[in-house]
Amino acid sequence: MLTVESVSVSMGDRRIIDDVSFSVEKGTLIALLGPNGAGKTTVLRTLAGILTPTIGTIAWDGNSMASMGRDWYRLIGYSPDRSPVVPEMTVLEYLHFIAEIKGAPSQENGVKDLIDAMSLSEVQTTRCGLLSHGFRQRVSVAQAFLSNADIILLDEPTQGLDPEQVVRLRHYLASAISDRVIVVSSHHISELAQVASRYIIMGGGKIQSMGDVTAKLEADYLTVVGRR
Amino acid sequence: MIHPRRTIQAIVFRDWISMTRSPVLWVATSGISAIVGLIFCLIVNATHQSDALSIMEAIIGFILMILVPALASKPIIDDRQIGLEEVVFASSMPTSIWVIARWISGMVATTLVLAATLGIVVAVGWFGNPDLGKIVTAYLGWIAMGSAFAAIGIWAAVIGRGAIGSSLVSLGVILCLWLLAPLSVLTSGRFSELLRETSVVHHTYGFEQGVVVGSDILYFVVLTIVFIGMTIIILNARRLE
Repeated sequence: MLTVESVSVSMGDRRIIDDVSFSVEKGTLIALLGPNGAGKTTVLRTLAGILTPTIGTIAWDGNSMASMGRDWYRLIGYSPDRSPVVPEMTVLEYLHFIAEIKGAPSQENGVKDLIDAMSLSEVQTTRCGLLSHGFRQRVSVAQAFLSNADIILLDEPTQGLDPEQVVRLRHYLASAISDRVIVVSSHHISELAQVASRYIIMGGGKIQSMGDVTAKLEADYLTVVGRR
Repeated sequence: MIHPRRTIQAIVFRDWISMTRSPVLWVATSGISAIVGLIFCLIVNATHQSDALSIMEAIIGFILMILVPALASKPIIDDRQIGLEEVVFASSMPTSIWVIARWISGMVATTLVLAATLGIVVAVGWFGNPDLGKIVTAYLGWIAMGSAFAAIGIWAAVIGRGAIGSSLVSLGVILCLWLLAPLSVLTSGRFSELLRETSVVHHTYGFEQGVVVGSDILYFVVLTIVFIGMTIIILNARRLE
């Protein structure tokens, strides 16, 4: 289980996220929703161990991030909001490169499976710099799954995808949940409502609302955005 | 599980691909050979051959001072701009592997840039009778110097934000190390000796004269280790340990 307890992150005098607490059972896809500047990316970067909480604790199965140190990163598969692909590398070269960095070189078949699952076969020998935004986004999501991580963090993975690609990504995420925790941020609720079982709505760096995904999610979201 | 050798290979391969599939390395190598070749021809026409070689060595040293840190820092700055840095640092790869791999990439680029100047050596050998021993030690000196400058470039890329800021920082540090020798003349006693011993110029003189001195090699090795070490410490402070 992923537990986040009273986490705040400050940069200088500014508090970027404030008193964020939630817990997520394994096998859950949780949608992190909110308008731009709500603090979604900061939450994901903190969970990824890129930012350190100023206050509060983050733990996986009772083991805190602080006590695990660098081992925490073994749990993490992270796809930032910018698709971090190397323009000069082909898709295949890039995914093998990330696999080596994550210490998953024996997963050559894993790379192949991911290429098939993310419908990247036709572009696997194409340089990433020549790909459309949608393909780059899919490559970025694919690399997050490379090391069989327990916690997958996807920042705006549907950004720039056409409707068909969004549906494909949803199907892939639904099939990849297993006993992982997948946290997906977006400001489009409709894209995630069908695949997420839980949601968190953020605004102004704080959690405004959270719960199980039901029909009232959209109403909740509009209330939060309307309040701002 | 992280395999240090395989991970270093993967990072160096990534940098190699970025360098060779973009115009960066080709512009750097052809640029340096064209500039050095042109200056060399002008000097040969105006001076004695032995003077020409010495002057050329000084010019290559000066060009390395600007070029090597820029080449070494480029992949790091690129990674930051495309967002790859976040993916890399959210992986369990030890920081030291990342820094060492980047230094090796810098050394590969330095070696290729130096290889581009070998045409001039061949031309000199064809038309004259140069002291090959001196030339070999000069190249050894440039590689030793390149090693330290690559480490300084990586450190500057990590503490700086953009390409220009990092270049200015690395240039500033190298210039300081360069200017310690003239400063030592203005001072006296142990302080003067300390300034001279820490100056880059003092430790390149032997290589230019065809002499390989252990203390000169040690100087560049220590400089490399210090800057690689500082880079690892800075990055570790930003990551979970």
